[in-house]
Amino acid sequence: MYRSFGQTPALQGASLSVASGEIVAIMGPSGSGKSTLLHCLAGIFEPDRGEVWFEGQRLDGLGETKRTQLRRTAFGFVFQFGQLVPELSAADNIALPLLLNRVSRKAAYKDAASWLQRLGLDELGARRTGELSGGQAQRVALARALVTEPRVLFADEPTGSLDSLTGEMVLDLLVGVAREEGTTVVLVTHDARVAAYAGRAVMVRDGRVTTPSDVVAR
Amino acid sequence: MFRLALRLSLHSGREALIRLIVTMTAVAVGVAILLAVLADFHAFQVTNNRPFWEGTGSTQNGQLNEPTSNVELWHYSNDIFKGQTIERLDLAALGPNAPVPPGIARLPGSGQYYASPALAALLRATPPDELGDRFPGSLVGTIGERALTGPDELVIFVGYLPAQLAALPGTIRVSTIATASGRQVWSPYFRDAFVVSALAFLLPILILIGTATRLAAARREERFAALRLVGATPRQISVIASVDAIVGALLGTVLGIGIFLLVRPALANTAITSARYFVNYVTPTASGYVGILITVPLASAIASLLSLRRVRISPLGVSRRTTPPAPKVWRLVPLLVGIALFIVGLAVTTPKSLGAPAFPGLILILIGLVVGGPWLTTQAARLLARSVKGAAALLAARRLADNPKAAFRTVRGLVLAVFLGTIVAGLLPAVNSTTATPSANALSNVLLEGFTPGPICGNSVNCTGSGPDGLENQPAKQAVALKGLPPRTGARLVSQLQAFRGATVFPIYSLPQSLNPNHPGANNGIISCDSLKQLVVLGGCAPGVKAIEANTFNLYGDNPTFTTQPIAGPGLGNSTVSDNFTGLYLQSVLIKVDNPTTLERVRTFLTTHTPLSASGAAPRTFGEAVQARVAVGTTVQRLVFIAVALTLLVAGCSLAVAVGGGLWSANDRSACCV
Repeated sequence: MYRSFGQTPALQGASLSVASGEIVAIMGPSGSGKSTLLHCLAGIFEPDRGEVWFEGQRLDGLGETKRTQLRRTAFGFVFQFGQLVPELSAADNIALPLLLNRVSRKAAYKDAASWLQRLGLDELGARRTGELSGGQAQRVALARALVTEPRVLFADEPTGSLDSLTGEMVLDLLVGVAREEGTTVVLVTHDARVAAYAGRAVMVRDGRVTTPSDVVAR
Repeated sequence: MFRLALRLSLHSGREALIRLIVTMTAVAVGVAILLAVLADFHAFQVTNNRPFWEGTGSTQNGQLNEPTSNVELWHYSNDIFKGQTIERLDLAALGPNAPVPPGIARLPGSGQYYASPALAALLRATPPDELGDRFPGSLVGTIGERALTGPDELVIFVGYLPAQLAALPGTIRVSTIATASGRQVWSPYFRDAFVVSALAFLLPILILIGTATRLAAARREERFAALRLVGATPRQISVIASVDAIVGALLGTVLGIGIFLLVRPALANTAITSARYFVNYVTPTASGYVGILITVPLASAIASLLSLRRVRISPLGVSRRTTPPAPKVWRLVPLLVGIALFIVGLAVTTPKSLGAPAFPGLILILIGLVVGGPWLTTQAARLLARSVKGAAALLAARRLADNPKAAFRTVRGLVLAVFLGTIVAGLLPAVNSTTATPSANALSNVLLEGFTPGPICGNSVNCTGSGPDGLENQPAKQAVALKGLPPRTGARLVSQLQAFRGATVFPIYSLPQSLNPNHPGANNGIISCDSLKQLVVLGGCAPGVKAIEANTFNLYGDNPTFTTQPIAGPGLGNSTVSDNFTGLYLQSVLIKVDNPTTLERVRTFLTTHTPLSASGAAPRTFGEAVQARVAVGTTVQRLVFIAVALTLLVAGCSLAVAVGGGLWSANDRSACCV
């Protein structure tokens, strides 16, 4: 894949394939293109050149509506910031993708409650997410990403704004649930400790994917 | 989706609630003002479209008092009391099925009259020799709303015997009373001013509603990005944004209707357009309410969607589509064309009317200010950036130059209001001063009563009908119509008027046929030089001259600028004539009075003692004529000042909402999107 922002190249022939159920960490220094790679894989960006395939379907040729539909039904996202709606409660946020997908209100909130319980947040369902701690908010984000039972979970620096203890707790949950559900995880991080949670790690440098020898799969 | 959107709008915590309240309040203010304008406009329309019974013309041929079952004698005239016009209709049924004018159940009999509620009250409160004696008979009832333009209108229907009424010049036979609308309550100038004023402040209201709708837009857009991340389509985002805008606007509209209903009694009681309307007319139509309930939320939704089009909301966040290009100089074109048209309009303005190009010029200037404002803001910002030294001022100047459209948007309502206020404050006093000339002021307590035909006029700049016609077969009346009151009648009237304390009489006689064989009528007259000495603004005589010809044509008009011009004297080429007025017809009288009571007594006397007069115009002082003209200007001025005050209120709200919204967004940005 090739992708530039104006005159600045971000991806310059990056290539990556991820097997179903695999947990892959994308590592690299700041500005190397790892987040751009994740956004292209998730259909948020279209590559300037190259192809993105998902379950036998080419993603980069799809229209905005189809890609939005995929994001709603097949993908889940956990980012460092900017993903929860602070005016809504934790339960509302988790139920949101289901409501957007026209799932009945009752069913949506039942699923949300189940995920709250699963992630140890059952006491916080009625709290607005603006009132939660960083770790609690990331767990809500994780629940919201997983409530639609996505085939792929895209996580971009999911613990970047958390202290190490909280970060580990969130990663344990993320990886644990993904393994239980058989969800594929694409995890972007610059932190080797985070990458260590993945089954495989790749390195992005100057817009190209390489396989590092110093990352040991757990 | 609608439920989700409603939930986001209504149950999203304190911040969303405050935003909703601010939006609602802003919309409510705009809607209440809009409804007030619509209500007054509706009252104006209903009043203007009421049956124009005054315009009834002769609908039956035949001898005046020839009995016919469905015919009546009809004599419409105007009178004046303390500057107010009284509409007077004298009636005499010629048969049992004679038509009944609107507002009463049956025709008044001889010696009876119906009066409008305001006139009935005035009759009770005023000594009869000042008013009541003008109307023979007694009050038998009041006239209903159908015949009136408002609760303050003075109207009277007086009953007569057919023989009595047939003797009055101008009496006609009527079998059908006019029902079509068409009364000119206001002059077209007045109506245009109303429409321009209303339009002028509609723009700031729309700006306010738009600003309120976009309140904290940046934060909302970031929320939308979060929704896009979890799979909301652009269409779903549009629905959520529209519902959000519609909820606030709809609640604000309902609140605005409530506010309007609360202030409606006070509004109805205020004579915004110089005369009060009936309370039940001061309301928007049902379609007006429905229209407001639909269009305001719709306009808000459109404003919200338009604001979304300016940004790209992706799952990763919000980005402006492009840096807005700097405003181009073409934006000044409407403003410059408007100024040019306005100047041309002023150049061709006469004391009688404002030049036609001035109105479109004014509207173009208003539009031009809105269009050209961003360019002017850019230039001002660049100038500021070059001249300031402090970092804060430099930053402010750069930010202004970066997005001058947004910067100007917050103040454009104020700019328009200040512009309109300045124009009105500058123009109208000047217009009024052209009417209230020194000569008009010098004659302010001089009453003029002509006896030759003139239009039916009260104390208004608009006359409501023509004078008596159809006098061809009535030689005595025809002579009055041509020359005035017969010599003996005229002499008696002059001596009776001279008997009034506090009144000085100046008769004007018609030229005898020997001096004016080809042009009989009211264009020329004779006045004594003693009279002219006391009415110096109307001219003067050479020493030793006792009487002089006078050019009286202008004297009987309705514009004080012309009626108070000299009628005789040096340079006018008037011939001297004999001061023996015996045998001359009395064309008119000028009567100087020393106080308002004398004025009304003299007027009452003239009304009851000049039955032969062929003039439809009521006796009026030059001061009253000036006042009638000034009142039009004053009313227009009041209308525009109200519009400007409301515009300032709305624009102030708009600015407060914009600035408050900006500060709020800046303070809360850190809290956005966990």
